[in-house]
Amino acid sequence: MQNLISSLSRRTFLKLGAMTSAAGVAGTASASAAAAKTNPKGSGKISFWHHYTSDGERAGFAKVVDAFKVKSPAITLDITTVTNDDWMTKYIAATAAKSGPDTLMVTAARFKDMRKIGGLKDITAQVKNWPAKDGVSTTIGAFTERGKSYGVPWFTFIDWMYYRKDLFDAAGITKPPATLEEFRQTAIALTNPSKNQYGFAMRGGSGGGGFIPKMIHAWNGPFINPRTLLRQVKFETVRDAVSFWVNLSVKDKAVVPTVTSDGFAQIMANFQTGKAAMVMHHTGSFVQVAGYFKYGTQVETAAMPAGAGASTGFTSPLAHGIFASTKNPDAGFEWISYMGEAPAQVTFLKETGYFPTAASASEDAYVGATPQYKVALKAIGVYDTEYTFPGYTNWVSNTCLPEFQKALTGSQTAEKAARNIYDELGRVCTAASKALLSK
Amino acid sequence: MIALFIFYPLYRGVFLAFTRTKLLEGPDSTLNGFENFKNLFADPTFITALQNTFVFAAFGLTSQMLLGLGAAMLLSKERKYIGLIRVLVVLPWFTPPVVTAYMWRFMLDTNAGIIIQLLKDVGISFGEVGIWGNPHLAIFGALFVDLWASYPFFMLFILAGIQGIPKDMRESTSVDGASAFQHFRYVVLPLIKPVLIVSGLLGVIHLINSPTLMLLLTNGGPGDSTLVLPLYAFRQAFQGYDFGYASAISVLVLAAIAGFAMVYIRFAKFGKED
Amino acid sequence: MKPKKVRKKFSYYMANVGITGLVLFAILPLFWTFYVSLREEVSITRYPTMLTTKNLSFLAYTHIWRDTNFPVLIRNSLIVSSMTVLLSLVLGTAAGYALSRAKFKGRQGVLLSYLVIRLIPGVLLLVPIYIMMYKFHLLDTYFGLTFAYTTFTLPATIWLMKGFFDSLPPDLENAARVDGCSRLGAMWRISLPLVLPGLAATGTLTAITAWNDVLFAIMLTSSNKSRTWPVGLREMIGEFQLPWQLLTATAIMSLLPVVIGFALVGRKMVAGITAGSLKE
Repeated sequence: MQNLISSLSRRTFLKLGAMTSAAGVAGTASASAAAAKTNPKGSGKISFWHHYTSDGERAGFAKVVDAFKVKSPAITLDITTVTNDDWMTKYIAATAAKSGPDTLMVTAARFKDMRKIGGLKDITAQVKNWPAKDGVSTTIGAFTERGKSYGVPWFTFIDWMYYRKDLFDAAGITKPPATLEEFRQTAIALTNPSKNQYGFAMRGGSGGGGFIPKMIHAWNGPFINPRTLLRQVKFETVRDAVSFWVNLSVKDKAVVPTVTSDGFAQIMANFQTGKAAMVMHHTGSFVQVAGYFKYGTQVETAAMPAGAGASTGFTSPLAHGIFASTKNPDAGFEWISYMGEAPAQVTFLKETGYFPTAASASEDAYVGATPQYKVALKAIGVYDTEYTFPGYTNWVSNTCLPEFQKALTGSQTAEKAARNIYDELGRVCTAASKALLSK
Repeated sequence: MIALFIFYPLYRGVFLAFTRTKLLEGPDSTLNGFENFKNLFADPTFITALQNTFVFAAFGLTSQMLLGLGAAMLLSKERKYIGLIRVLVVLPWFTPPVVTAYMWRFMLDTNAGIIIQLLKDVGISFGEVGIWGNPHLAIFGALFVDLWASYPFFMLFILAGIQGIPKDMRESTSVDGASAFQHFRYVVLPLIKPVLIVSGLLGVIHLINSPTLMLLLTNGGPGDSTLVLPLYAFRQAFQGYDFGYASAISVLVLAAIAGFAMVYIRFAKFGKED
Repeated sequence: MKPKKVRKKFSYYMANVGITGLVLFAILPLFWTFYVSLREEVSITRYPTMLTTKNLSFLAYTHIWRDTNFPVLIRNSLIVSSMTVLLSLVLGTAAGYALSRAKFKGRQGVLLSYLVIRLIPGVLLLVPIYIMMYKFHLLDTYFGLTFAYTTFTLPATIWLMKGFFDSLPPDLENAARVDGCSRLGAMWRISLPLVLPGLAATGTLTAITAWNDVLFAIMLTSSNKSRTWPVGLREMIGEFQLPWQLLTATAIMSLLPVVIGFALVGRKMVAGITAGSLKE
């Protein structure tokens, strides 16, 4: 297992290097040579924003906080929940007022937006002096821009699917689908409207826009040039990708019919009640699903199906950053780097199932002893990292989602949806690329 | 201080509408005249949002005011337990939008909704997509929820208006035998007119300006079918980081309602002099 | 005489039917919410529309009350709402009265500008208000929220109070002034008691606005020092969960203080102070 992880990690590392920039890789490589200095110890009060809302997250995080209090008694933490929906609103206001939390969470998809808006502090020097930095080398790249680091990784969401083993058995299907075409066939085979059973709980409501980039990526491979940030995908490819996804519902009817209003809570409820045999999410819901079903006999995990260009799944790391106008960066870094190391990450994993970013944490017995995680461990080597470029999240939630929904409800064709999604992506990329050159 | 809290932000907002302020390009604003407004009218999503807003406000005001007026008339007479009844009827209006939205979404859910289930039992079906997944029905779902939540606002103020009418005038019907409708038309209505005007105006503003319910019920979906202007402005600002464009939308809404209000007040004044 | 009696009886029954309908329309959803809050989460997801008496309990309530910071948030909400009502009513009644009685030029302009304020979409205000609150050191304080809410409730308060003062026959006050009352005295002793139902209604409106607001509560608070309960509720509905049992229990709890408060104010409105004092 250890070997598996380190070899996979290296692969991901190389991929990430390609995804971000050559400078980023060089920066971390040279850093290990000059690791003589250490960061000063911090003290005093620091504030922290997170967006944990579930009981598991809160419980796990409370344990991490308690352990940190013991380790660094000179630092007092002032912790605030800011829900995901309100996150950018508060962040923008805080950045504009130059008054925000000392430290805060940064998700991979939002990283470039948050960076451009300007509230994140460059922590390259502190990361250089941090002894445990090599452990997170696989994911730190996702929070690096032009060789500068802005975040210490904390955990990674790894996309996967859950499937109802009992329903698969009943239908005589022996293994989960490996490719998107197999996925489609399996979904059709498991659909039986007279029994109120469908193959797949598709997310077409809140949060459903995120599957559009996944599909385009699966068809095309990376659809953004990581260096120039320009679009590198043909319209025909986008059309095929979007049509496939839309047609699972519109033509194949293999999807729970309420799809356009189904967000996370609804797809999970559909899965739980047996209305759907498969559902796609990520490692973050592992513990929750364990609450309804027994792993092994009733439910199993599987990697996301592969497309012609790449896998459908992403790894989506999450990091902690330091706010630009903080007055206490030393204590801030001590706190976020504490969470960058294995003990804190394993503590959190045990309560939440959120996958550690520190390589040494993956070797922990807990991960090894949970067979379902093997899927995730394997997937780390296959998946690419979630996209991040300025304007990405807005494109996903305000172009991809509504256009996708309009195609689902029949207000427009899948091709028209693909056209709008494609054009808007072009506009966003051109703007992002321009901004890149001007700076 | 209160003036400061209003006028400075207002000034900033109106100013931003005439600038290019995209946070992804940096925090600075550069003046660009009417560029944002020009872009607005070439933006099909804006046009859709404008139409949705109009439909929502028109249907919302009509349904809420009529039900509010009817309820106020019913509840204005003294009877047993009237205090309790009034409190109960006004309850929905107290219910916080967060609660209202999630409660109704749950009750009107295609699979889990008790109301959908009951209607199905008596033979009324919204299809397998349900209300929230249907682009033609979703806005009426939202209107219904807002009717439940907001008509007590009208009822409350109309009721207070009726109670402000001297008792002998309120009860004149029973004495001179004028029909209930005539009494309402010629005695009650003119007297509660100021309250009707004010509550109508505030109601319209509320309908146009409060995206909370829509945000939580449908978030503009499916597609753009329930996207209303404040929701669109909010998206442009805090998800698209384009404060210039978002401000332009808001300024336009502001100008439109202000214009409406002016006409409305004039019109109402004329009515009074009759 | 007879047909009239019949008609009267008929209309009385019709009114009864209408009132029953209104009451059911208002409270059945809330009862359903209450019922859901008593059920077990697993059972809600599996059989959402089932009516059962099995395994009903107040566990969600005791859990929220004991294990969460909800009681603190409720207290904060009560404090902020009361402060907002006080401030809005004092300022709003005075301004509303002045606008209703005074005939000074530009009256309409003043009204319109107040109205415009009410019209400003929240989007325009969020960031500037945050910055100002920061400059005045009002972030995460009761006063910060109170000022923000008063800003938004005041225009409505003034408008409504003006409406109530307008609907009073002006002769009443004139008579009082002939009897030797000062303008202020006339307002205090004659008009104010007459608009008490209006005052109660307006105060209730203000309280609700402050009580229910989520937007400013999220923006301007960051700790239990001033956070109000809707923020807590919003945190409950996370990205990965929709815990119906807890959510509905919280909703019912958040309604309780309001119901109690309005039961008191409501009775005042019913008391018929207006009619009574007019006859004397």
